[in-house]
Amino acid sequence: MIVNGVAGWIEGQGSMLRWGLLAPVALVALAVLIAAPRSARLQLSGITGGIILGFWAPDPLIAGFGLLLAIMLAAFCAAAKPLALSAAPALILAAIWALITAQPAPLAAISLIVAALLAPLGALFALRAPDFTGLAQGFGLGLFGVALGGAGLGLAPVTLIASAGAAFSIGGLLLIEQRLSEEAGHVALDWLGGLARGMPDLSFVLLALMLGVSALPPGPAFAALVLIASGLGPAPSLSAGAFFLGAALWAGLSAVAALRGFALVALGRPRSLRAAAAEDARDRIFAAMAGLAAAMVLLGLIALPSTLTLIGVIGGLGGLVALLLALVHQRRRLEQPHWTEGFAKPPLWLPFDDPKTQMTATGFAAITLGAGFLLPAWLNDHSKKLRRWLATVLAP
Amino acid sequence: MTVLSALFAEFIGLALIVLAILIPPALITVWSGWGAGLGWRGFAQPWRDWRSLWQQPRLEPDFASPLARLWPAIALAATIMAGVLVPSFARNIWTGVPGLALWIIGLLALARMARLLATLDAGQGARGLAAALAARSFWMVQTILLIGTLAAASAVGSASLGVGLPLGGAGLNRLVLLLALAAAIVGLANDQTAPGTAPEGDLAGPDLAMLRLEAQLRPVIILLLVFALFAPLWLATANQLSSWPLGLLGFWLRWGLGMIAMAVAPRGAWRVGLIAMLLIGLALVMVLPR
Repeated sequence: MIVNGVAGWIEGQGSMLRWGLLAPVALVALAVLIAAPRSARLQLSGITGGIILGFWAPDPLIAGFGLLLAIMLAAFCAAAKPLALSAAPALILAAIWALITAQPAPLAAISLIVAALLAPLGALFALRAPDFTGLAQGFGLGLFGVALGGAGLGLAPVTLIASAGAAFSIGGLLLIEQRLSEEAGHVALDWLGGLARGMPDLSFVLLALMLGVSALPPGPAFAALVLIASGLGPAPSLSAGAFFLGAALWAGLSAVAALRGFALVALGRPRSLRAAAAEDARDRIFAAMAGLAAAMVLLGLIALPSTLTLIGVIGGLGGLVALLLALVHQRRRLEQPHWTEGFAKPPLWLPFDDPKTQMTATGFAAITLGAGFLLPAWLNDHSKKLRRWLATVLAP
Repeated sequence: MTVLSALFAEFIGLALIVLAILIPPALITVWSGWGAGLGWRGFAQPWRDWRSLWQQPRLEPDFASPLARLWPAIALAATIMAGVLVPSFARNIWTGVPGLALWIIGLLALARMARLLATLDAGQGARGLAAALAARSFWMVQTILLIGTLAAASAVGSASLGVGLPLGGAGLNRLVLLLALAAAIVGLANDQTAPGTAPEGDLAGPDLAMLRLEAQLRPVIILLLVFALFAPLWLATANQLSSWPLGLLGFWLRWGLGMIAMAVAPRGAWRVGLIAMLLIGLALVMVLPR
C-alpha cells in the first residue's frame, strides 16, 4: 500500500522514479561503507558520488563522467564489488524507463520480451551457481528481468520493488561472501554446509535474504508477483503474455534456487573443517548485512498491496507456528543413538561422515540437467550437434 | 448475521477438508481389514495412528540445526492457513480479496519449502537426493499453477478465487480455463510428493506427525484451489443458507471428480511433453485476440 502510494506520486512526477530506484542503492552504499576497511572508504565514497552523479546529473556528459569515475574506482577496489553490482540494475532501469517513457511503441514490447527471457534465466543461473557471487548475479539478473517487465507493462511498483530486492540481495549476499571467505575459508557452496550451528546470526541473515528473493510470502519477490498478476488485463498482448510465462517460470525456479542457497549452506553437515569451525562475529560487516536483510524483510511487508490480507495471513501463520511449537515443546526429548541409515559408524577422521555421501550444492543443481524434454530424435540429434558446436566456438 | 454465517461457512469448509483427508485412509483400513478376515476395525484407526505419533516423545537427529524444530511447524501452519483461505465449501469473506490465488499458492509453496528444509536439515545423502527430486517436482507443479493462475486471470479479469465464470464465458476463455485445468490435473497426478512418498527428513514423534498431516492436507487443498481457479462450480454462498446443501454436495463432487481425474491422468515418460504442450497451448490461447 505504501509502495503503491509512493508509486502513484512518482507517476505524477516522472523524474521521481529515480528516487525510488536510487534509495535502495544508497542503502547498499551505506552498508558497504560501514562494512569496508578504513583504507577503502575514500574510494567507496568516490564510487557512491559517481553513481549519484550518474543518476541525477541533468547533462548526459556529466552523468557519463560520474559513471566512468565510479567504474574506474570500482575496478581497483575489492570492497566495492557489492556496491557496483547492486547499482548496475538500478542505473540500467532508470535509463530504460526514461527511454520507454519517451518512445513507448516498440520499446515496451521489446523490454517485455527481453524480460521474459532474463527473469527465468537469472533464476536458473542462481539455481546452478557454484558460489555466492553466482547466487547474487543470478538472483540479481532474475529480479532485474522482473523489474524490466514492470517497466514494459508500465507498472512502477513492480519495477521499484524488484530493483530494490535485486540491490538488497546482491549487496547482502556479497557481504556474506566476504564474511565467509574470512571466517570459513571458502565461498564455494560445496565446501560450506552446517553453518547454522556455528554461525546462527549469519544463517538468519541468509534466510531473510533467500526468503526475499524466493517469491514466497511475505517477500518482495512475492509482492512483485502479486502486483504483476493484478496488473493483468483480459487478453494481454503477445509480449505481455510472454512476460507472464517468464514470470511464472522465474517464480518457481527462484524458490528452488533459494532453497538450495540456504539449505546447502546453513543446514546439513559441514563439508570442510574450516566451515565446521567458523563462528559468528558481531562487527561492522555483520551490522551491514543484517541491515540489508532487515531492509529486505521490511520491503516485503510494506510492498504487498492488500494490508489487511497481509496482517491476517501473516498473523495467523505466526500464531499457528507459535502454538505448534509450544505444543511440541512440552514433549519429553528422547536420547537415542544416532541412526546412520544402516551404514557403519564413520571413522574418527570424518566426524561429519563422508562428504561424498551427502547432498551438495552441485548435486542438488543436477535436477536442472536433462530436464526431460522429449524432442523428436532428428531434432534431438541436431540440437546436440548445435550445442557441441557452440561449446567449441564459445570456449574461452 | 453476515459475519456469523461467514464464520460458520468457514468452519464447515475446514470440517469438510478434515473429513476428506480422513475418509480415504479409513476406507482403505476397513477394506483391507475386511479382506484379511479381521472384521470391522472402525473408521477412526487413521486418526488413532496419527494421535499416537503426535503423543510420542521428541527425537532430534544428531546433526540437526538449531532451526530444525521450526520446519514441521511452519509446514503445517502454512498449509492450515492455505486451507482457511481456499474456498472449499462456500464463497466467503476471503473470496473477493485480490490476488488470493497467489496467496494460497505462495503459502503451499512455503509449506513445501519448509518440508524440504526439514528433509535437508540433518544432511543425509539419501534424504538429500529425495529432497532434490521433490524440489524438481515442486517446481513443475508450481509453474503449472502459476501459469494457470495468470491465464485464468487474463480470461476472467482478476486473480481472485471463486469469482470466475463457471467454465469461462466466451469460447476462448472457456478453452483457457479447460487447458489450465487439464495441465493442473496432469501436473498433480505426476507430483512425486504424494502423501505416501513425500520426503520426511530424519524426524520422529510430533514433528513427523505434523509433516504427515501436512502431506495429507496438501492434495485436498490444491485440488480445491484448482477447481476454485479454473472451474468454480457448485460453490455455496456464505450468506444464503438455501445454497448450503448445494455447497455440501458440490464439495464432494469436486473432490471426487478431481480424485478420479488424477487417478486416470496419464503418467510416465511422456508426461513432460504433455504438460509442455498444454502450457504452450494455454499461452497461445491466452494472447489470442477476442
